[in-house]
Amino acid sequence: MWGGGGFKILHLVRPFLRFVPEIGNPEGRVPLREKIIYTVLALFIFLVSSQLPLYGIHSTIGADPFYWMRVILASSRGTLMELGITPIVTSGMVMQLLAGSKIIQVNNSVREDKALLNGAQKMLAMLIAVGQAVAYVLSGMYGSIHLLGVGNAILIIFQLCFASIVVMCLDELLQKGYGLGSAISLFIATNICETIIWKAFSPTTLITGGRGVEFEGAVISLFHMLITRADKAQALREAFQRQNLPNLLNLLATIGIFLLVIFLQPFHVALTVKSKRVRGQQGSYPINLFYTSNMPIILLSALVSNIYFISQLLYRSRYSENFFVNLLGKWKESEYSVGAQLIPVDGLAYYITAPSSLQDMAANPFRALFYIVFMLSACAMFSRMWIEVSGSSARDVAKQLEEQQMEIPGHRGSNLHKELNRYIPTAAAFGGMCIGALTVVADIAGAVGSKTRHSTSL
Amino acid sequence: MAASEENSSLFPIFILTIMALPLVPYTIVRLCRAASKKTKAIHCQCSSCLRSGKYRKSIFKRISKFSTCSNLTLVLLWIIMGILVYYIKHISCETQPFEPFNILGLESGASDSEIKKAYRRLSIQYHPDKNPDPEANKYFVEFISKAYQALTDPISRENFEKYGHPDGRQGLKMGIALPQFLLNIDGASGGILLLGIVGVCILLPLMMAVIYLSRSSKYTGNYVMHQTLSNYYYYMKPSLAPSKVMDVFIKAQEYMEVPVRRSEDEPLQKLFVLVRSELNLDLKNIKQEQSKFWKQHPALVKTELLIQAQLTREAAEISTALQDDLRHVLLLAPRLLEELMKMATIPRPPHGHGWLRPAIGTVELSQSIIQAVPFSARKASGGFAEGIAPFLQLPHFSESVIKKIARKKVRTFQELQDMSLEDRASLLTQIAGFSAAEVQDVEHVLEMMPSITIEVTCETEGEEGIQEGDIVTMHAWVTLKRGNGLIGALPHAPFFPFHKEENFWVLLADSLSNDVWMSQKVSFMDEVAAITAASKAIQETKEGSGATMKEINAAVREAVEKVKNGSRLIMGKFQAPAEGSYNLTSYCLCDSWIGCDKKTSLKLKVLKRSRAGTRGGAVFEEGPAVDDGIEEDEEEDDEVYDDYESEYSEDEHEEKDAKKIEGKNKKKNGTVANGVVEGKGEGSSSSSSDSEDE
Repeated sequence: MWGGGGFKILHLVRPFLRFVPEIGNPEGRVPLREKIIYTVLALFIFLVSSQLPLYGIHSTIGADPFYWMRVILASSRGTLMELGITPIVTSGMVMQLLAGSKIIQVNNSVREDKALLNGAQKMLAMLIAVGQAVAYVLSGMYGSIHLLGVGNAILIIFQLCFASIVVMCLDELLQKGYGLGSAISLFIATNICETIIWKAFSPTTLITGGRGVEFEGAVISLFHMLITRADKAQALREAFQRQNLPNLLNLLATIGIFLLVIFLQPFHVALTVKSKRVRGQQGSYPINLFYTSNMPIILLSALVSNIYFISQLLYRSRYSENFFVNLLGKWKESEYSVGAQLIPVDGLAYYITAPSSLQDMAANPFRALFYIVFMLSACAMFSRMWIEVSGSSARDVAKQLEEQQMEIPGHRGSNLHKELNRYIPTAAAFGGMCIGALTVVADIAGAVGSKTRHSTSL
Repeated sequence: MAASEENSSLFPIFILTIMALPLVPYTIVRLCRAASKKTKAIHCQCSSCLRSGKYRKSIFKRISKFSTCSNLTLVLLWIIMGILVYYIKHISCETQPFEPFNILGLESGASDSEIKKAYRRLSIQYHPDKNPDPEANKYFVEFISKAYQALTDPISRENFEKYGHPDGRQGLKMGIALPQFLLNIDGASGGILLLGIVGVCILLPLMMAVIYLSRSSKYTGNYVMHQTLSNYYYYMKPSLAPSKVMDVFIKAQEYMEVPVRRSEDEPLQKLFVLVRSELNLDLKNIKQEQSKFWKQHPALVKTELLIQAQLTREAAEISTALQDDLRHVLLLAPRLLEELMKMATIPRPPHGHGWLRPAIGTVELSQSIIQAVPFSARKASGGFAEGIAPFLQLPHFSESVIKKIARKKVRTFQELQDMSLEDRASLLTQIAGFSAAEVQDVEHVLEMMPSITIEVTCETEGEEGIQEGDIVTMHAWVTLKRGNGLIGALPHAPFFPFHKEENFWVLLADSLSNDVWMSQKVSFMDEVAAITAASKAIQETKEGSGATMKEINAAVREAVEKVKNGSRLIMGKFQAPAEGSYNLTSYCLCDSWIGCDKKTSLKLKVLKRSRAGTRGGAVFEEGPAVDDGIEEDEEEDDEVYDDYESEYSEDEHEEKDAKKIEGKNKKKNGTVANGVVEGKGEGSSSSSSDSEDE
């Protein structure tokens, strides 16, 4: 459809479309049983490939610059899932932005436009995957190029790209109705669950001179201490409060946050909508409390981890004495973690990092206050921004309802937009703030691996 | 090596924890359940049902109830756990953590002066100047003085608090609590181990999934073959007489695949003679009809004969091989009957209505199969206005008994039910010659029989009256009551060898024009699901009409109360037809009991359209999409599109494959409020798929 009297950027994609892998539409409806099987299969492939180490890499030791983003991007270091869902999420966001800001014209009611947009998104994802893989290898993340050799370097790039394409296909498979939900949220959720299970039941042991043998897993450690220690009360206290490894309080806090999210999930304002043409066809248009879902947190994490990344890079380079570099963040090696993980100790990076506990908060109340204000306002802002970009703002919803010949009783035409505008931006901002508040609570209560603040995404 | 020694006690701890986590709660649950036992028996208590062996618990079974596999495993696991704890306690010789107060022999939190005093006391005991033993010397340097230091020196104290030792950070070693041989990959076992992991963890699940998927592609969501559905769709006719429904029913692909063995010719011939009277053969040219019957597909002949054997209660007469086949046929029957019912009531062009006569025929067939009552018993004959079928489902009733009762002017089942307890007892003992136990059995069954009431209202939501082309919402409350007070129960069905749950079909139909406007299945078994479904449905309707929070809560509470008292809510939407008044009947048909079906009439007055509308026809199906969030709109629209496709294709060639029809059928049932529809969960889980995937 070249109509519309003009040239569309989107049409540039067309010649490449047939090189993009595509999943066919299911014939008829897929029964629930099969959906579950497909979902489990996809999950299984994801889990296996996030355990399979890349072939040909030399080393993955040293500070991990992407440590803070691993969870939301469902990636794991040194494995096939090194890129995780980054390419799909990034390309999805870029396309959303382009479409939302009308740089590319997409008419959602035209089938071909939809297909083109889809193809363009996938192509972009593949390009991003290639770019990222090349960047990783060149930057010496797996050992310097001299050590790797050209053959291995190409092999690594190929592996990473192929894994990304597989993830992309899995995502499409689930979205086309073979499975439940989307691969993106499925993988993020899996990653979070994996972390939680690992922190609770990990069989890894740490042998230190002072404390003797300790299990990493909080629950296992409770049993271990209760059985081997002479002083049971002391053992119990330690199991609940130990600082260097995950403890039971963290675990309970995680469960608490989960329950809270489940409790808040169904909160909504229902607007009555009615068909203009047909009598008796009425329903409610729910505006949820979590109107933008976990999007603000994903955006915020992306922002924060980019700040960390840049700050770390600058701090470790020769500019570490520079005033502005220090203003951005000062870093120190963590005392507890095994690898050389850096944690912020001053500067902006420090102030936007969650205090690790209540004592930590009390020690530097200004930082705590700054952090809370930053989280709440940033989440609210991102949420407001996202509705405009993703096409769920009051205007877009009004348009949608208009197309479906629906109206809110008593509000016609432009009034519909106004009426929706009373609710949607407020709901988005407030919902964003709620998510921010949840994150703050989760961080301070130390919900397992405070970086897994994304329990909300479930 | 110290590490391996450590490991030897660490791995059992890991195993112990993993075992204890499920075991402890499970045991508690088991004990609680054992304490509050006495679950209500929900099946029929009459002697013939008990004798049928479906629910039988022999003495052997009663003994083995306490020594079931699960109980034995439970005990075994507890024993293993005990051994593990004992083992760990004894083997673990690991270093106690550094605890200064313990070493100095003090309560934690003792004051400085106490610490000093204790230190001095121990110094006298262990100081190298006083005690020449090198062991004591070592103990003094490594523990006592360190402990004293940790408690008094501020730097050491800080170190102790941070790292657990006054000297600061100690060496850190990582380990993993698994047995050595698993970690020792370099050894000979490494290759086998790797193969094992790859095989068991990766290939096996993949293989299983692939095999399952390839197999299940033949079946629909309801474990019925696609081919069966298309056969049913093709053979179903609007004016199918109840006796002819059987011919459609046996066309199922599953029955076509019933094996026909050469050695079975003779037994089948014999069976044919037994059930010939039931086969609807024209007596005038019986020879021709007979040969025609035998010329059908052999599997069809066999299935029909077997089902007839079930109906005439001749199942005991046939050979064991045939009995096994009969069991197989009966096992599949309830599922197939359900699909047959759906095919009868599926909306067909031009008006989008289903067919009433085949629907009723299907339910009658279902009742007959479950109760093993022949078709001939259903016909009105010999003064029985509604046939003798309902009597035949009672235990110990035979045709001669029924004839005897009839002499006492008991000619309908209703009359028997309405009699007082004493009258009935005396009638049965004196006229029919029943013993007291047999009378008791009859009473049991009569108490088990459900009595149904149904209230239906149809309205256009949020508007006055019903006009042409409106979307009309039907609310129906089906209430079930039994003599013995149960709500969810298993029917009395001594001749049906499997576990069968009662299901009810609610139809809204116009009996004059043979149209079914709406059909839904209700089950009274799962109360929890019914409560959630009903409260959700009520909440959505109320929200749609803009009610306040208080009103919604009150309505939901009321609905929950009703469901708990044995009612089920059914909601459905249909499009109002052309102007006129319609005499509709709402049927509630039971698929397993004969004689407890209910009919209520309902007058529907459709007025002329007052507000001009431009769109008409099937477009209205788009409606419910608005209820869901925007995220799902796209999906919904696609489905609607598919629906159109199927509808139009039906217009042109009706025998189009049944797959699409099934999809459509499901969508139509999406609004069911009794929680029996599968595929309802999809919405809830996909709603968490976030906006980023758009």
